[in-house]
Amino acid sequence: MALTFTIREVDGVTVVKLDGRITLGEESNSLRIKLKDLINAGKRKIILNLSDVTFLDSAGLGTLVAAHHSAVGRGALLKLCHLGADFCEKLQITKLATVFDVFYTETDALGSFSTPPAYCLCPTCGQPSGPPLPRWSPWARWDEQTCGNPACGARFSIAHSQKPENVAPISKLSFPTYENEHIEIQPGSFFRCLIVGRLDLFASSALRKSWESIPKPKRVLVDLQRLSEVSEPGYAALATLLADQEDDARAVVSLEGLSPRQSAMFPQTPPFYRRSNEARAALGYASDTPKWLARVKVSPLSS
Amino acid sequence: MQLLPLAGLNQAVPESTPELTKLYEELVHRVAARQKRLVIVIDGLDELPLDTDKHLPYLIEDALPEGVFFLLASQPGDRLDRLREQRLPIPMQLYELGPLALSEMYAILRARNPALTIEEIKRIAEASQGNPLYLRTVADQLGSDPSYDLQALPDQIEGVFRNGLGGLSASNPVLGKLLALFSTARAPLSLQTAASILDFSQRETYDLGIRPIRQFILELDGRFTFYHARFHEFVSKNVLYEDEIRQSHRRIADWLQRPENRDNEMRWNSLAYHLFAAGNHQALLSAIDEKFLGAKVRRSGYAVLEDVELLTRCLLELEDPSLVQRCVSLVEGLRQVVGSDIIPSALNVIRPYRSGPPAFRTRLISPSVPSVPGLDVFVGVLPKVEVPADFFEIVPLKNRLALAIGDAPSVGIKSAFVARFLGNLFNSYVNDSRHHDLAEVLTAINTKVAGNDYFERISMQCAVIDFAQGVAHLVNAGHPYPVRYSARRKKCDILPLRGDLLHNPIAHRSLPQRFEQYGLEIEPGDVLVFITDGLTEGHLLQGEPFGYRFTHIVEAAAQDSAASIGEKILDAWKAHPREEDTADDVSAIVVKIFDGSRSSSKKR
Repeated sequence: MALTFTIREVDGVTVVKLDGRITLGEESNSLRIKLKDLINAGKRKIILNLSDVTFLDSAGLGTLVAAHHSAVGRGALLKLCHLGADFCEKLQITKLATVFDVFYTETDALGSFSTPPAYCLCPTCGQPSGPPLPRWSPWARWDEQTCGNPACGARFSIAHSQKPENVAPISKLSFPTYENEHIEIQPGSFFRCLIVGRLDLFASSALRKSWESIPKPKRVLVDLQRLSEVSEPGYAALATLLADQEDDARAVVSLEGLSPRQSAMFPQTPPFYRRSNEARAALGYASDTPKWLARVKVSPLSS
Repeated sequence: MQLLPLAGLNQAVPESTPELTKLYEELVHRVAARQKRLVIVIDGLDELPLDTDKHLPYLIEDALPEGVFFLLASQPGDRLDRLREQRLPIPMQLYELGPLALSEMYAILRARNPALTIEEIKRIAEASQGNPLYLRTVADQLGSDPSYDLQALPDQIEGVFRNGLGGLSASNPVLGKLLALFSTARAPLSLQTAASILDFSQRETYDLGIRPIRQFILELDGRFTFYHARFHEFVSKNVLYEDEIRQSHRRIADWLQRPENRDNEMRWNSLAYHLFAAGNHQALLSAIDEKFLGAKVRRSGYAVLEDVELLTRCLLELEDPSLVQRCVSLVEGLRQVVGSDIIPSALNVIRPYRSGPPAFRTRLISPSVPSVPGLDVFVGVLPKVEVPADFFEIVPLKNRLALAIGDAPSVGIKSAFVARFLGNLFNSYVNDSRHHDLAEVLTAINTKVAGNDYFERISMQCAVIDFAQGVAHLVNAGHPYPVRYSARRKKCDILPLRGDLLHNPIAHRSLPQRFEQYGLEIEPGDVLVFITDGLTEGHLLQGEPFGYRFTHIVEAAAQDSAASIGEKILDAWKAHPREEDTADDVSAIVVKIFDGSRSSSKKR
């Protein structure tokens, strides 16, 4: 099916509604030519509404990337809307989510031209995360953030009790291991490292990345109450992190909630404690636990 | 050649396999239309090397014309097993034949050498164990040397060959070179040509080279060649050293490049082949240029594809990404002469694992791939066009198996060369001890291709499976996540491997591109499934993509072989309701880990 275009102007913004498939060949070419013509005609604010696009292959995506660069190079802004949840995930994987301005609806996209969105920077790798932060209000809902760096994969939430200026407090951060399983870090007077699901060789990668994201000096309680199983390499990875700490770091492990069989997989000596309160007591009161803040930027590429 | 007169045609026979296959199929149909019955006998199927394609180009697999029959002879073994596993749509009947009876051996030997006595025949029959080739060889030996000692007959046919090569010694400067010449030449050679290539007189060539092994030589229209593939194999593997074979190829290539051979048919047919086999890649790049290819394509049509294959293999093995552009230009240039059909044909010849003529979505390309003991490996590709942009590479290492799967952007000629280049690079780097882990391998690949426009935004995933250590290492460059079925848990896990695309020009430039190696514990019975995004339909914006619903299939079929699991996944993808084909290649690699007591099996 050929790609067709319906173009209209809304408050100085050119809205291009596409219908059909954006694939290698004629469709990609026609899209490229159309966008080039619009930019040559002086259009500087363009929205591509993809609600009726049934398929977008890698060549079509490449055309969009090229068009985006061409637009930016000539002072124009290109925004996308109505991509669908699956494709948004695809953009996340390919790191394009933070290159394009992507919106769920055309209204959101139109509104963004008057209010540039803000982006959080990932506390682990420092790269922009998505989705963009909506305009602040006391009742605004801020979605969970996903790091736009495909090599990172961190997910985090920011507390919205106060208006974010240049920084926003992080309320939790996690790295997925398996489906519905993850390693989660929760800040507080100490950092709680919650292992949800399995701790094995594969999950150890997420454990290490989570651990590295905790600010220094590290004050960590590893909570195993939601651990489902542990393998020898998984335990070895945890033991390595516990042993390989900087001088002023303190870390303990709570075995509370484990079955006797699971508990037997771990030493029963410090820094392993059978009860959570014993572990917390061993960790002591940490007055020097650092605040955990994510930086906020107006433009995702300004980092 | 036998079919041509039956079809009422008189034309040259092409040398390239795809072109030959095409002509062959045409001829079978023509002959079948002219006469009522055609029986094609293919003898010695088992003598094909095991790494030859699973799909044999001379077997018409889809449907035979009315009245056409194939008769295939083979010793029991892997080759025959593979044929039976192919589930050909044409009906097949298997006849198991026992060894030759004494009376049959008597008839064969007497027909060849009537002077043989009954005692001699009994002795030969006892030593040969009914092997017809052995019978014929000994009968011929007795024909040329009546004093041949039948009491000293060896157990194997190779022993007879060895005895027959007694004249091979340092004092005979011709015989060794002649054996190498006949081993490496692709067509029978006249005495004049053989002598000219070897730089001996014709008398020396015959008396010192051909005469001592005359019983193993076949003469066809004044041209000589080895009379049987087993003898050829024996000479190539047991008599000649590698450097002697290379030297022979070089000798032929040098001879072909002499000015007086400019119009020699053998030069057009075989120069690229001999230069490649001689390992003289620079000479090949210089001699087989666009001018040569253009002239050859006008002269011999699609036979030029072999030159394209060898030339591009040379270019790609140089590990210079910019040469991919030259490969593309090369084939594009040929299109000017013979039309666009050359493109899919050319791309077909550069694929590393060939498996017969592909068809759009109708036939699964399931090439035979290498494996290692303890692992069962299946690769299946449903291509969107004749040549897929999805690619894979399987590399057996010591007690481990390395594999890569990826998706080159775009389609056709460009992506096929890009894919092949990356496959070569992975194969080379994963064998290079300077790269300590897969993350370094992928980083090195990314560094190599970065900056070349042909390699923008490629997804690729690599794994090394160490069955003995019970661990797999994985690394990912923006490719769909793989799946592991755990036999202990009886469940599948999607493995979220993080990593950016290769050569992503819009990546955050402040970050150096690094890849993370993940470890995964594996146990006997576990299954690993690697896929491309054509399977998950990640680009589908509307409707229900197939996604990872295949995990249920893996869980249900986990006791099956890798091939069975893979085929079920692809069958389910085909059966999945969708409004239109997503028009993307669909690929899956399935690796099943056996328990330690079993070895890899290709049985379904």
